[in-house]
Amino acid sequence: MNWERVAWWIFWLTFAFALVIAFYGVSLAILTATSVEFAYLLGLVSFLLLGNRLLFGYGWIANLLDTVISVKEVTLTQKEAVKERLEKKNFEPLEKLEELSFKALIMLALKDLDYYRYAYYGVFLLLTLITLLTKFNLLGDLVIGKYVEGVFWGAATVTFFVWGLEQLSKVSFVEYNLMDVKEIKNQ
Amino acid sequence: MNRVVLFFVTSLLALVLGWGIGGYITYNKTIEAVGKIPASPIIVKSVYDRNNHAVVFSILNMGTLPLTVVSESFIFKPGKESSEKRYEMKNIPASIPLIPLGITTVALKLKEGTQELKSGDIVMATLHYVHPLSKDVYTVSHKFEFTGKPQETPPKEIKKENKEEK
Repeated sequence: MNWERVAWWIFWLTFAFALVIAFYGVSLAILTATSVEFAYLLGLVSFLLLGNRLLFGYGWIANLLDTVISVKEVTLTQKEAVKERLEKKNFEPLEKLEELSFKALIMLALKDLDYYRYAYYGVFLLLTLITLLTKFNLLGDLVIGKYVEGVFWGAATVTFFVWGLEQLSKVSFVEYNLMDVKEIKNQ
Repeated sequence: MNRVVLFFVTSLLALVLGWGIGGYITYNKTIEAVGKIPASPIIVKSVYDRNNHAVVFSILNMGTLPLTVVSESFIFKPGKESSEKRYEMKNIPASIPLIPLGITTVALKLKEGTQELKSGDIVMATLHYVHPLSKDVYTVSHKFEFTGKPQETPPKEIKKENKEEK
Protein backbone atom coordinates (compact mmCIF):
# COMPACT_ATOMS: atom_id res chain seq x y z
CA MET A 1 0.00 0.00 0.00
CA ASN A 2 1.27 3.42 -0.91
CA TRP A 3 1.06 5.28 2.36
CA GLU A 4 2.17 8.57 0.91
CA ARG A 5 -0.77 8.49 -1.44
CA VAL A 6 -3.18 7.82 1.44
CA ALA A 7 -1.72 10.74 3.36
CA TRP A 8 -2.23 13.02 0.37
CA TRP A 9 -5.83 11.86 0.02
CA ILE A 10 -6.47 12.55 3.69
CA PHE A 11 -4.87 15.98 3.27
CA TRP A 12 -7.01 16.90 0.26
CA LEU A 13 -10.20 15.64 1.93
CA THR A 14 -9.46 17.73 5.03
CA PHE A 15 -8.64 20.71 2.84
CA ALA A 16 -11.92 20.35 0.93
CA PHE A 17 -13.82 20.04 4.19
CA ALA A 18 -12.11 23.18 5.51
CA LEU A 19 -13.02 24.99 2.29
CA VAL A 20 -16.68 23.98 2.63
CA ILE A 21 -16.72 25.11 6.26
CA ALA A 22 -15.06 28.42 5.33
CA PHE A 23 -17.52 28.99 2.50
CA TYR A 24 -20.41 28.21 4.83
CA GLY A 25 -19.04 30.58 7.46
CA VAL A 26 -18.48 33.43 5.00
CA SER A 27 -21.95 32.97 3.49
CA LEU A 28 -23.50 32.97 6.93
CA ALA A 29 -21.50 36.07 7.91
CA ILE A 30 -22.65 37.93 4.80
CA LEU A 31 -26.28 36.83 5.17
CA THR A 32 -26.61 37.72 8.85
CA ALA A 33 -24.42 40.84 8.77
CA THR A 34 -25.80 44.17 9.86
CA SER A 35 -25.11 47.11 7.57
CA VAL A 36 -21.87 48.12 9.33
CA GLU A 37 -20.58 44.54 9.41
CA PHE A 38 -21.36 44.26 5.72
CA ALA A 39 -19.30 47.41 5.11
CA TYR A 40 -16.46 45.77 7.06
CA LEU A 41 -16.70 42.57 4.98
CA LEU A 42 -16.77 44.64 1.79
CA GLY A 43 -13.56 46.43 2.75
CA LEU A 44 -11.99 43.12 3.78
CA VAL A 45 -12.79 41.35 0.52
CA SER A 46 -11.86 44.24 -1.79
CA PHE A 47 -8.53 44.84 -0.07
CA LEU A 48 -7.81 41.11 -0.06
CA LEU A 49 -8.18 41.27 -3.83
CA LEU A 50 -5.97 44.36 -3.98
CA GLY A 51 -3.29 42.93 -1.68
CA ASN A 52 -3.48 39.38 -2.99
CA ARG A 53 -0.16 39.61 -4.80
CA LEU A 54 1.60 41.10 -1.80
CA LEU A 55 0.15 38.59 0.66
CA PHE A 56 1.17 35.58 -1.40
CA GLY A 57 4.45 37.13 -2.57
CA TYR A 58 5.76 38.08 0.86
CA GLY A 59 4.28 34.96 2.42
CA TRP A 60 6.05 32.79 -0.12
CA ILE A 61 9.39 34.55 0.36
CA ALA A 62 9.13 34.42 4.17
CA ASN A 63 8.27 30.73 4.05
CA LEU A 64 11.16 29.95 1.70
CA LEU A 65 13.69 31.92 3.77
CA ASP A 66 12.43 30.23 6.93
CA THR A 67 13.19 26.82 5.45
CA VAL A 68 16.59 27.99 4.22
CA ILE A 69 17.48 29.44 7.63
CA SER A 70 16.45 26.33 9.55
CA VAL A 71 18.30 23.92 7.24
CA LYS A 72 21.19 26.35 6.66
CA GLU A 73 21.40 25.29 3.06
CA VAL A 74 20.00 26.50 -0.25
CA THR A 75 19.10 23.63 -2.52
CA LEU A 76 18.97 23.82 -6.27
CA THR A 77 15.21 23.26 -6.29
CA GLN A 78 14.65 26.29 -4.10
CA LYS A 79 16.77 28.43 -6.35
CA GLU A 80 14.95 27.15 -9.43
CA ALA A 81 11.61 27.95 -7.75
CA VAL A 82 12.64 31.57 -7.20
CA LYS A 83 13.84 31.82 -10.79
CA GLU A 84 10.65 30.33 -12.11
CA ARG A 85 8.56 32.67 -10.04
CA LEU A 86 10.53 35.74 -11.12
CA GLU A 87 10.29 34.71 -14.77
CA LYS A 88 6.62 33.81 -14.67
CA LYS A 89 5.16 36.52 -12.44
CA ASN A 90 7.56 39.40 -12.84
CA PHE A 91 8.69 38.79 -16.44
CA GLU A 92 12.41 38.85 -15.71
CA PRO A 93 14.45 37.40 -18.62
CA LEU A 94 15.80 33.96 -17.84
CA GLU A 95 19.28 34.77 -19.23
CA LYS A 96 19.65 37.50 -16.66
CA LEU A 97 18.54 35.21 -13.84
CA GLU A 98 20.86 32.32 -14.69
CA GLU A 99 24.07 33.75 -13.24
CA LEU A 100 22.55 35.40 -10.16
CA SER A 101 23.07 34.12 -6.62
CA PHE A 102 20.20 33.16 -4.29
CA LYS A 103 20.61 36.41 -2.38
CA ALA A 104 20.32 38.49 -5.55
CA LEU A 105 17.29 36.51 -6.63
CA ILE A 106 15.52 37.19 -3.33
CA MET A 107 16.46 40.86 -3.60
CA LEU A 108 14.93 40.96 -7.08
CA ALA A 109 11.76 39.27 -5.86
CA LEU A 110 11.47 41.74 -2.97
CA LYS A 111 12.12 44.69 -5.28
CA ASP A 112 9.52 43.54 -7.80
CA LEU A 113 6.89 43.42 -5.06
CA ASP A 114 7.68 47.06 -4.21
CA TYR A 115 5.51 48.39 -7.05
CA TYR A 116 2.49 46.52 -5.73
CA ARG A 117 3.37 47.55 -2.20
CA TYR A 118 3.42 51.25 -3.10
CA ALA A 119 0.11 50.97 -4.97
CA TYR A 120 -1.49 49.10 -2.09
CA TYR A 121 -0.30 51.47 0.61
CA GLY A 122 -1.27 54.44 -1.57
CA VAL A 123 -4.85 53.25 -1.86
CA PHE A 124 -4.96 52.47 1.85
CA LEU A 125 -3.61 55.93 2.71
CA LEU A 126 -6.27 57.52 0.51
CA LEU A 127 -8.98 55.51 2.27
CA THR A 128 -7.55 56.50 5.66
CA LEU A 129 -7.66 60.17 4.65
CA ILE A 130 -11.27 59.92 3.48
CA THR A 131 -12.22 58.13 6.70
CA LEU A 132 -10.56 60.82 8.81
CA LEU A 133 -12.29 63.55 6.79
CA THR A 134 -15.69 61.96 7.38
CA LYS A 135 -14.83 61.44 11.07
CA PHE A 136 -14.11 65.16 11.50
CA ASN A 137 -17.17 66.12 9.38
CA LEU A 138 -15.01 67.90 6.83
CA LEU A 139 -16.92 66.51 3.84
CA GLY A 140 -20.16 68.05 5.01
CA ASP A 141 -23.07 66.05 6.35
CA LEU A 142 -22.09 62.67 4.95
CA VAL A 143 -24.58 59.95 5.86
CA ILE A 144 -22.30 57.19 4.55
CA GLY A 145 -19.55 58.15 7.01
CA LYS A 146 -20.03 55.14 9.24
CA TYR A 147 -19.91 52.78 6.27
CA VAL A 148 -16.69 54.39 5.04
CA GLU A 149 -15.28 53.66 8.49
CA GLY A 150 -16.39 50.03 8.21
CA VAL A 151 -14.61 49.69 4.87
CA PHE A 152 -11.56 51.27 6.49
CA TRP A 153 -11.48 48.71 9.31
CA GLY A 154 -11.83 45.86 6.80
CA ALA A 155 -8.94 47.33 4.80
CA ALA A 156 -6.90 47.79 7.98
CA THR A 157 -7.30 44.08 8.79
CA VAL A 158 -5.82 43.11 5.41
CA THR A 159 -3.15 45.80 5.68
CA PHE A 160 -2.10 44.36 9.04
CA PHE A 161 -1.37 41.00 7.40
CA VAL A 162 0.32 42.58 4.38
CA TRP A 163 2.54 44.66 6.65
CA GLY A 164 3.29 41.72 8.96
CA LEU A 165 4.26 39.38 6.12
CA GLU A 166 6.37 42.10 4.50
CA GLN A 167 8.26 42.71 7.74
CA LEU A 168 8.62 38.98 8.35
CA SER A 169 10.11 38.35 4.92
CA LYS A 170 12.52 41.26 5.34
CA VAL A 171 13.53 40.19 8.83
CA SER A 172 14.09 36.68 7.49
CA PHE A 173 16.19 38.09 4.67
CA VAL A 174 18.35 40.07 7.11
CA GLU A 175 18.75 36.95 9.23
CA TYR A 176 19.70 34.95 6.15
CA ASN A 177 22.32 37.55 5.24
CA LEU A 178 23.86 37.41 8.71
CA MET A 179 24.11 33.63 8.60
CA ASP A 180 26.67 31.57 6.82
CA VAL A 181 24.45 29.62 4.45
CA LYS A 182 25.88 27.08 2.09
CA GLU A 183 24.74 27.56 -1.47
CA ILE A 184 24.93 24.78 -4.01
CA LYS A 185 26.49 26.29 -7.10
CA ASN A 186 25.11 25.91 -10.56
CA GLN A 187 26.69 23.24 -12.70
CA MET B 1 14.27 44.64 13.80
CA ASN B 2 14.50 40.99 14.66
CA ARG B 3 11.80 38.38 14.99
CA VAL B 4 11.13 38.99 18.70
CA VAL B 5 10.61 42.72 18.19
CA LEU B 6 8.44 42.00 15.16
CA PHE B 7 6.36 39.60 17.23
CA PHE B 8 5.69 42.20 19.92
CA VAL B 9 4.97 45.02 17.47
CA THR B 10 2.61 42.77 15.53
CA SER B 11 0.80 41.67 18.70
CA LEU B 12 0.32 45.27 19.78
CA LEU B 13 -0.99 46.24 16.34
CA ALA B 14 -3.35 43.26 16.38
CA LEU B 15 -4.68 44.35 19.78
CA VAL B 16 -5.26 47.92 18.57
CA LEU B 17 -6.90 46.63 15.38
CA GLY B 18 -9.23 44.28 17.25
CA TRP B 19 -10.09 47.04 19.69
CA GLY B 20 -10.91 49.40 16.82
CA ILE B 21 -13.03 46.91 14.87
CA GLY B 22 -14.88 45.71 17.97
CA GLY B 23 -15.48 49.25 19.13
CA TYR B 24 -16.73 50.32 15.72
CA ILE B 25 -19.22 47.45 15.37
CA THR B 26 -20.39 47.63 18.99
CA TYR B 27 -20.81 51.42 18.87
CA ASN B 28 -22.90 51.32 15.70
CA LYS B 29 -25.03 48.43 17.00
CA THR B 30 -25.65 50.28 20.27
CA ILE B 31 -26.56 53.48 18.45
CA GLU B 32 -29.00 51.50 16.30
CA ALA B 33 -30.55 49.78 19.33
CA VAL B 34 -30.87 53.01 21.32
CA GLY B 35 -32.34 54.73 18.29
CA LYS B 36 -35.23 52.30 18.25
CA ILE B 37 -36.33 53.10 21.81
CA PRO B 38 -39.48 55.19 21.53
CA ALA B 39 -39.44 58.36 23.55
CA SER B 40 -42.27 60.55 24.69
CA PRO B 41 -42.12 64.27 24.09
CA ILE B 42 -42.00 66.42 27.19
CA ILE B 43 -43.21 70.00 27.39
CA VAL B 44 -40.34 71.58 29.26
CA LYS B 45 -41.54 75.18 29.24
CA SER B 46 -44.67 77.10 28.44
CA VAL B 47 -44.82 80.88 28.51
CA TYR B 48 -47.32 83.52 27.56
CA ASP B 49 -45.98 85.89 24.95
CA ARG B 50 -47.65 89.17 25.69
CA ASN B 51 -46.57 90.96 22.48
CA ASN B 52 -47.84 88.32 20.10
CA HIS B 53 -50.77 87.34 22.31
CA ALA B 54 -49.78 83.72 22.12
CA VAL B 55 -48.93 80.82 24.39
CA VAL B 56 -45.57 79.32 23.46
CA PHE B 57 -44.76 75.70 24.27
CA SER B 58 -41.24 74.27 24.18
CA ILE B 59 -41.47 70.55 23.43
CA LEU B 60 -38.44 68.35 24.05
CA ASN B 61 -38.13 65.15 22.03
CA MET B 62 -35.78 62.90 23.99
CA GLY B 63 -35.65 60.11 21.41
CA THR B 64 -33.36 59.73 18.44
CA LEU B 65 -36.21 59.52 15.93
CA PRO B 66 -38.43 62.39 14.81
CA LEU B 67 -41.96 62.41 16.17
CA THR B 68 -44.89 64.06 14.46
CA VAL B 69 -47.66 65.85 16.29
CA VAL B 70 -50.76 65.03 14.26
CA SER B 71 -53.32 67.06 16.22
CA GLU B 72 -53.69 69.05 19.38
CA SER B 73 -56.53 70.20 21.53
CA PHE B 74 -56.49 73.09 23.95
CA ILE B 75 -58.92 73.87 26.72
CA PHE B 76 -58.95 77.30 28.36
CA LYS B 77 -60.33 77.86 31.80
CA PRO B 78 -60.51 81.57 32.60
CA GLY B 79 -59.54 82.41 36.17
CA LYS B 80 -61.33 84.67 38.60
CA GLU B 81 -59.66 87.85 37.41
CA SER B 82 -60.50 87.31 33.77
CA SER B 83 -63.62 88.81 32.32
CA GLU B 84 -63.53 86.63 29.22
CA LYS B 85 -65.74 83.61 29.40
CA ARG B 86 -63.73 81.56 26.98
CA TYR B 87 -60.70 82.07 24.86
CA GLU B 88 -60.54 81.14 21.22
CA MET B 89 -57.54 80.23 19.16
CA LYS B 90 -56.82 81.79 15.81
CA ASN B 91 -55.52 78.52 14.42
CA ILE B 92 -54.31 75.31 15.90
CA PRO B 93 -51.02 74.23 14.33
CA ALA B 94 -51.08 70.64 13.12
CA SER B 95 -48.61 68.02 11.87
CA ILE B 96 -45.56 69.50 13.54
CA PRO B 97 -42.36 67.44 13.23
CA LEU B 98 -40.49 67.26 16.54
CA ILE B 99 -36.75 67.13 15.85
CA PRO B 100 -34.87 64.26 17.53
CA LEU B 101 -32.84 65.10 20.66
CA GLY B 102 -33.91 68.71 20.56
CA ILE B 103 -36.50 71.27 21.52
CA THR B 104 -39.21 72.35 19.11
CA THR B 105 -41.11 75.56 19.87
CA VAL B 106 -44.79 75.77 19.06
CA ALA B 107 -46.75 79.01 19.35
CA LEU B 108 -50.47 78.98 19.93
CA LYS B 109 -51.96 82.30 18.90
CA LEU B 110 -55.05 83.51 20.68
CA LYS B 111 -57.76 85.29 18.79
CA GLU B 112 -57.07 88.95 18.25
CA GLY B 113 -59.16 91.38 20.22
CA THR B 114 -59.57 89.09 23.17
CA GLN B 115 -58.26 90.11 26.54
CA GLU B 116 -54.76 89.36 27.72
CA LEU B 117 -54.31 86.34 29.92
CA LYS B 118 -54.81 87.09 33.56
CA SER B 119 -53.50 85.39 36.65
CA GLY B 120 -55.23 82.10 37.28
CA ASP B 121 -56.04 81.30 33.68
CA ILE B 122 -55.41 77.66 32.86
CA VAL B 123 -54.47 76.23 29.49
CA MET B 124 -54.84 72.46 29.17
CA ALA B 125 -52.88 71.30 26.13
CA THR B 126 -53.23 67.78 24.76
CA LEU B 127 -50.86 66.64 22.02
CA HIS B 128 -51.52 63.61 19.84
CA TYR B 129 -48.33 62.33 18.25
CA VAL B 130 -47.19 59.37 16.15
CA HIS B 131 -43.88 57.51 16.25
CA PRO B 132 -42.28 56.52 12.91
CA LEU B 133 -42.01 52.86 14.00
CA SER B 134 -45.60 52.54 15.15
CA LYS B 135 -49.06 53.20 13.81
CA ASP B 136 -50.51 54.07 17.21
CA VAL B 137 -51.41 57.58 18.26
CA TYR B 138 -49.99 58.59 21.65
CA THR B 139 -51.16 61.40 23.86
CA VAL B 140 -49.41 63.84 26.15
CA SER B 141 -51.31 66.25 28.38
CA HIS B 142 -49.91 69.43 29.84
CA LYS B 143 -51.46 71.95 32.20
CA PHE B 144 -50.26 75.53 32.08
CA GLU B 145 -51.42 77.95 34.70
CA PHE B 146 -50.70 81.59 34.05
CA THR B 147 -49.43 83.13 37.27
CA GLY B 148 -49.31 86.71 36.07
CA LYS B 149 -45.70 87.10 37.13
CA PRO B 150 -43.49 88.94 34.61
CA GLN B 151 -42.76 86.01 32.32
CA GLU B 152 -39.47 85.82 30.58
CA THR B 153 -39.73 86.47 26.89
CA PRO B 154 -39.93 83.26 24.88
CA PRO B 155 -37.14 82.23 22.51
CA LYS B 156 -37.15 84.22 19.30
CA GLU B 157 -37.11 81.30 16.89
CA ILE B 158 -40.77 80.45 16.84
CA LYS B 159 -41.02 77.72 14.29
CA LYS B 160 -44.75 77.43 13.79
CA GLU B 161 -46.25 80.85 13.59
CA ASN B 162 -49.65 81.16 12.11
CA LYS B 163 -49.48 83.64 9.33
CA GLU B 164 -53.09 83.42 8.30
CA GLU B 165 -55.36 86.42 8.72
CA LYS B 166 -52.47 88.85 8.69
